[in-house]
Amino acid sequence: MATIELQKVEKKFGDLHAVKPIDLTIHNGEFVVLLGPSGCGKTTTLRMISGLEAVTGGRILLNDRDVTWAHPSERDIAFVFQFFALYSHMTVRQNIAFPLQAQGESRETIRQRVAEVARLLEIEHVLDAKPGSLSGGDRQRVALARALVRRPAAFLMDEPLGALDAEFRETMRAEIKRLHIEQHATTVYVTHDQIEAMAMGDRIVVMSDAVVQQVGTPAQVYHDPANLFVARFIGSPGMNLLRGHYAGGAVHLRADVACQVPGDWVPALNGALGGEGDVILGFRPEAATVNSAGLPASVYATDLLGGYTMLHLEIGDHEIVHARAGRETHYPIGTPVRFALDPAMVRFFDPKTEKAIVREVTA
Amino acid sequence: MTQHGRRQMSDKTIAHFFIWPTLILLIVMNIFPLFYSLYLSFNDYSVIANEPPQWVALDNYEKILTTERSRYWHNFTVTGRYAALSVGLQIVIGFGLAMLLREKFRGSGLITTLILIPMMLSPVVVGLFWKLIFDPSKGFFNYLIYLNPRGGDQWLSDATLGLWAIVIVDVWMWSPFVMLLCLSGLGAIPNYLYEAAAIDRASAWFQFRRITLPQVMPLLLIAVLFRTIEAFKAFDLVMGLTGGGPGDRTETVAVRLYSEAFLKTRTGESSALAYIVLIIIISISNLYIRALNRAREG
Amino acid sequence: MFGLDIPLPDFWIVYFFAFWVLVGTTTGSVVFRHKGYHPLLGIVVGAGGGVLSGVLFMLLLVAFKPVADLLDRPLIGTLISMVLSAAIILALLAFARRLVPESVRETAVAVEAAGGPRAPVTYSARVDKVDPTWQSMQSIRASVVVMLAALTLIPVIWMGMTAFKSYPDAVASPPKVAFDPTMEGILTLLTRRRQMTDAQKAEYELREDLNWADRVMLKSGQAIIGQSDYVKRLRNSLIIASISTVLSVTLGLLSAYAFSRFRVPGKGDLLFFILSTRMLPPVVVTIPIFLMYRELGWYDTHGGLIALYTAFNLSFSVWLLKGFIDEIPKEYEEAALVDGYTRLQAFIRIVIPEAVTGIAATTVFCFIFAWNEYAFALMLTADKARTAPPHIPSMVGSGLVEWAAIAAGSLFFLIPVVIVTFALRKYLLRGVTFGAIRQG
Repeated sequence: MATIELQKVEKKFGDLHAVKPIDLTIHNGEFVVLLGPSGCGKTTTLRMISGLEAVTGGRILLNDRDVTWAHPSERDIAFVFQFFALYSHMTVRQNIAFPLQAQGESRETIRQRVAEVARLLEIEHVLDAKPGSLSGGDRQRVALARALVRRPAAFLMDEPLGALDAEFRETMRAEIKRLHIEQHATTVYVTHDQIEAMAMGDRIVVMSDAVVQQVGTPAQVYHDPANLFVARFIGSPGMNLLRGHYAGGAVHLRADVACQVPGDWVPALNGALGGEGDVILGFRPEAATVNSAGLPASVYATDLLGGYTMLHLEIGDHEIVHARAGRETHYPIGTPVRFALDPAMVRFFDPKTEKAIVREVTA
Repeated sequence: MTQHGRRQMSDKTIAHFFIWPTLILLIVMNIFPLFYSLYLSFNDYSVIANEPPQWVALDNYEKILTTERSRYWHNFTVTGRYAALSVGLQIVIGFGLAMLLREKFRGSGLITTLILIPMMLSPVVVGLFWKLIFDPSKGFFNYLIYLNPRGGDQWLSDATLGLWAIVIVDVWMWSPFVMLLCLSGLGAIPNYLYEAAAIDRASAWFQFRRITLPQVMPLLLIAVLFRTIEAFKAFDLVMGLTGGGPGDRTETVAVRLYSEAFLKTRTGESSALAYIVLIIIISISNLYIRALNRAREG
Repeated sequence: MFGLDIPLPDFWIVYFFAFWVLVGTTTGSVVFRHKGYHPLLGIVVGAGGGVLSGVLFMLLLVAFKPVADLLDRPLIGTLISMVLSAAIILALLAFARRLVPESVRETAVAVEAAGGPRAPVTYSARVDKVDPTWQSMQSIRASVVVMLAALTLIPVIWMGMTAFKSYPDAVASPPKVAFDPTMEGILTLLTRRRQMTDAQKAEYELREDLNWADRVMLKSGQAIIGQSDYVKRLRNSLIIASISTVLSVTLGLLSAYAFSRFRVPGKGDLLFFILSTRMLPPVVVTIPIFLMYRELGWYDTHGGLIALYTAFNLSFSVWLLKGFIDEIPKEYEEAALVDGYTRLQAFIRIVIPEAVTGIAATTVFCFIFAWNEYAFALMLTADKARTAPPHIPSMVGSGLVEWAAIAAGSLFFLIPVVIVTFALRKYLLRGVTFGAIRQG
């Protein structure tokens, strides 16, 4: 069990930053997800923690021990690779035993531990098969077994579900989560899939352009995005973001359409914008409900997505707002509608800094 | 018939039109001669004698395969020893070179290509040139290896060193080939296997034995088969270096075949020998092509 | 010309000194960079260390000689003492590395204290691979490879040198590494000459129509009276190799396309049959072919050899080209077919341009095979259509062993091959494995 601490860890390729200095503490037993689009530096960060990539600057502490320059094998971590990294010429049993053999464990211990993890992951029936003949899900189970069998202090997983079919992905997601709860092992998990991140992570580290954008619980990242990038990136579709002008307790969204700012936001906005100024209004699709007295819009398109209908509403010229409506609602295209916003779910961003405007937390 | 049937050929016609010229040429130049020499192998015949072939059934084969009546067995032994020695050394040296060249460094591409040059050269020219290198007084080989510097060993006219001389040149020429195969095999091993091994605390030897070697094995097999086939065909190099001498000490099967067929003009007997060689080679090439196909798929 | 006359020096002394200096300079720059100095300083110090190592290596070799002599086999004994000496020196070098003081002007103390390198790592590398020990091992490894490559090339270089030696230099004992370069060998190869008496020579010298070649040969008292057979052989080689290459690539391209794109009954067996013809030893096939050619009057004709080389290269070109065509997406042609082109037009306008690198590589491989081929040419030609490979060894037998001329002949013959090796380096592996294995 371990605490992982990154202190100003950075990575440069030539003059280009792959990861800008990052500070992060991963607590004992925590499941932390590094989330971001491809090329954002999340995998590089994970590889730096494992030692597969040397850092350009900063320190990495594992249980308060400086391991920045320690060999990967001296860090007591296990790594699960995207493409499983199973040895195709060995049986599943040999694959799982490999790390123990490499450490020179006794034959009896190896047999016992392999049997143990095989039971845990329910792969006893494939122990004598070669990895090539297994399904994607089973291969991933074997890869997990190989990581588990060592009883490492921390697990590092690099998009372990990325190479799986959609059907296996859901099952394996649940399995990894359950495994984490049972074993309670510190886990750092890299993915570009925000649903995966939301479902699995105790905390999510959102990265983009080599920079950490926000660190928080799934709920925090979803409801209180720290900046415009996180607001757009999390959720599908992302947060609705409307440019407007704040003055006198209301946001004027072009023309003569104004949106009243909820009372508890007024001091914060006044403070941040000095009484008046440009602002970006943000709200999730589920915060908008069609009613008879809200903001005017017209129906641009409607998608029935199984359990609910996603409305695409056009307000002003070509500005589209996504709103969620009941499964049975149906509007012909072009219907004029009005929608209202749930005052508890609106957020505001400063267009210049792209950062969220934070209100005082009043109990 | 397709819609444009009248003005354009169907795919089937094109396929015939494209494939048959190749097949016809191969049948005329390879298959017909093989059947002809099968017929000759059952006859007593000489191209220079103005007599028609005499049917002798299996007598030619018997002559070759029974040691009492011929020294053919000697040629097979020479070929076998030559093949075993040179293929073995090539595998060791080629694999070693590949391991050394595996991690790229500045100029490693150029070095690799330079090492590959011998492989592309004409074997007979190489053989001829090494003849000068091996020359006890005018060549530099003896100076290089310090064996008896002045006066030196008679590499090419010594009964045991003669075969070694051929092996040395063959290794010089063909180790690069094994190296090239191994390099491609090593390059195809995904890096994450080694990363996983590094995290699993596997030692360098453990990584070599459990990851590198098994992954390169199929390619080593291809190298062994290919070089064995070539060893059975060894003709150019031997002719250029020793011509089979001293005496018949380095006379490989192919050289013997040449001298029987073209110098002693025992056409029938040499056809029978040719068939025996053919059967050996066809069976090895069968394995070889299968290994190639497996490598292509895997 | 320069009056140079140096016998072969003790090659290995030069060779091992070169090796140790190479090791010294490369590892020196690594170590000094890690300690925070300019790498150039490391190269200078390393070169000095390399020279010292070389001296020490020689001394150790001498010291180990009695040990090596205990073994019966001098070669193995020498190898063992070399390995031992090298190990001792490497251990000393590893120790010497610690003696290099840390540069004081460095500031990244924190990084260094934790065991990291002084210079920030701004490239992708595993933690253990930025370690100076690992990097020094890397540069030693590179030095070994460079020296092995040099060793490999010695015979080729030696041949190039011999081609420019005079007759006495070429057969000097001990062999010479430094000599007066002369064109004698090359001229001997290309011309026929007449030996002159002193009187004739004096008279000949006064003629005014002598070109530089005449003057070179005059030194050894010979007058050029015409072209040698070699020129004719080389011309034959060129004609036969070119025509057969064009034919086999053309036919091969057609069949490769058909095998790649159409459903051909028994495709696998046909391809196997085609490849197996390539495996046949030339000597085996030649006996009946010889009889057949004698009947047809094709013996010693250009046509006969061209037909044979075409057939032999065909199997190769079919396999190699099929691999290249397989890589072109079928959709390219299907799009053309949909646009109203015929199969043939699609083949000519889409497949051939797309496969052009593959076709070029195949062409060169076929050409090299025909160019290098010896066995068929030896057995199926005598004079009119004889190519260069069987001719060069026959020059050994013709009275005087003119090694310089033979070397020159080989050199002419090898230059195109060396050029091609460089041009084809990306496709070499594909070529020698019939397209089955791609270079990684």
